[in-house]
Formats: sequence, structure tokens, C-alpha cells
Amino acid sequence: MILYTYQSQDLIFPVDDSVWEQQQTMEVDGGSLIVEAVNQAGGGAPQFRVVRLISTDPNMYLDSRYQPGSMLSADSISRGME
Amino acid sequence: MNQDFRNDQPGQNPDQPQDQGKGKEKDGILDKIQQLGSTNVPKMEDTNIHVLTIVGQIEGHMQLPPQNKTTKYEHVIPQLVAAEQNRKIEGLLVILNTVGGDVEAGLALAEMISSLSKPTVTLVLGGGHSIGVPIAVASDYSYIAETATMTIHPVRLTGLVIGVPQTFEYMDKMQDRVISFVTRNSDISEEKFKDLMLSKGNLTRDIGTNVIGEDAVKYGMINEVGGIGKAISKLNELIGKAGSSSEQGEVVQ
Repeated sequence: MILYTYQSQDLIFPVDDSVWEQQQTMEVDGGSLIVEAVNQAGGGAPQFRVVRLISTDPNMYLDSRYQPGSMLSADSISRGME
Repeated sequence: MNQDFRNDQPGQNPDQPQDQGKGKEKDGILDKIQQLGSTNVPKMEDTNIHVLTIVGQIEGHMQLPPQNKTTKYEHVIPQLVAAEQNRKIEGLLVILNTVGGDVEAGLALAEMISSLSKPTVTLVLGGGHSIGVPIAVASDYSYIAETATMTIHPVRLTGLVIGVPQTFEYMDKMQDRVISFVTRNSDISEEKFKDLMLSKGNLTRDIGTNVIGEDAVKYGMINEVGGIGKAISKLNELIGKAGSSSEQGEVVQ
């Protein structure tokens, strides 16, 4: 099936709710992080992978904790998740 | 369920500790190469210049799916408020690489940037299309990379058909707001901007113009062609000027 339309794809094929649930925004000092939950194979404590840092402070982008792909454990960020 | 998972854990553990330390370090480096393309990034001193990046689509009232790269106003506006209030921040550099997006949200960001009391410099890298144009001209001084482009086109709605004259009038007013903002904040004349916006034959089966680097400067929209080096040195110059004028102000008081 080919659809010829000027409408954006997500208007025609609505995004599944589960896609929204994977990512969340959390506050950190000086900005916020977009993280996605990563399922642990062994069923351990949930971990979060940093997707994107949102901050105006260029120094924060050099902080290895906030680099895209770095893993954060739930308890290390529970303070910010409230 | 959770209880069961935890009970399984100890049985699996004995194998892991032996190479855990070494494996972790190796994994860390591999992850870094995978995500950033390099193993380490340079360290930096405290900075008085903050950087705001406007990337992807500018999101309006409708939330775009997570796979879209978006600039969300609920992220950006608090940052601009913080930049205005934080004494340590003396200047703001805005870097644009956007395809445009929501008119109202884009104009909101442009108004926020133009009304900041601190020196601002914008740099268009890649693209500053559509509603990115008002944001690009909102600062005190603007730069565009030589290869960067800006598409100027009329306001339009996706997903809605203009059915009634009122809708058309509303769109026309919206377009006037964009035009008036751009002409107020840059050297381009209203006539020229409208001309570019409504010109035919430049974009395939659409009206509008795709303005590239040097041309944007020629039309008076952007102040200068340049990159990050020029942008930062201009910002430092503006900060220097702002600092000296405020000192004089204090003496007078």
C-alpha cells in the first residue's frame, strides 16, 4: 500500500503508547536528562540509559555521567525522579 | 514476581565477579566509542557563556513521537529564564540546526531570546528553516555558516484543510507576526522578505526561497558569515561592552 499524502506519518499511524513510556525526563542540577529504562537480563535493579542532556551549560556536556549512552542506576537518580 | 527474580540471583553470581572489574572498564570504553565516537572528551573551565541548541523540529502543543528529534518549549523556556536570572551567565550563544515547526512556539522562543537583557549571538549551522528564521534573527548579532541554509516560506497548516475565510485570515495574521518579527530584528525590508517568501520556481512545487549562507547576509537577514570562533569572539566583545556600560551606569547612580 502506498499513501500519497502531505500529512505527517504519525497522524496516519498513531504512535503506540508503549513508545512514550520508554523515555522519560528527569531533572539534574543545571538541566534535565532524557533517559530510557533498560531491562536488566538478570532481573536486577532497573537502569537508565542517558538519551539526551538538555542544558545550556557547556560544561555539563563534558561530564561523563551525562554523556549519551552512559548508564545510571535507579537509586543514583531517585532524588531527581521525585 | 519480583521475589522470584531476586531468589534466582545468588545462583548466577559466582561466575561473574572474576572478570567483572576488567570487563566493566572495557565495556565503558567500548560504550563511549559506540555512543560518542571517541574515548574521552576535553575538560573545560567554568564558563560565563551558555549555549542553547535549537535542533530538530520545534514542538508546539502536539507532542511529537519520541523518535523525532525535537526542541520542546517546556525545556527551552526555563533555560532562558535561568540564563536571564543567573548572574554567572554573561552571554548566550544560540546554535540552530532546525527544520522549523510550530509557529507559536517558535515565535515564543524568538521573543524570549530577543528580550534577554544579556548579549546574545545566534549561529545557524546546517539549517535554520521556516520558523527557525525568526529565532536566527532574534539575537543581538547573527552568524550563518557558509553552507547553512534557511528556507523562507508562507505559514501553512499540516493536517487541516483551510475551509473558511476566518481560518485563512487567522493564518494571514500569523504570517504577519512572523514577517513583522523578522523585519524588526534584522535589516531585511518587509517587501524583500515577502518577496522571498512568496517567490515561485525556487522550491520544487512550492512557493518560497531557500537562502544559502552568503545570500542571507546579502538580504540583510543575518549579520555575517562565520562559524563558532567568530560567534564566541563576538559574544565576548558584546559582553565586554555590556560590562563597561553597566559600570558607567553605576557611577552615575
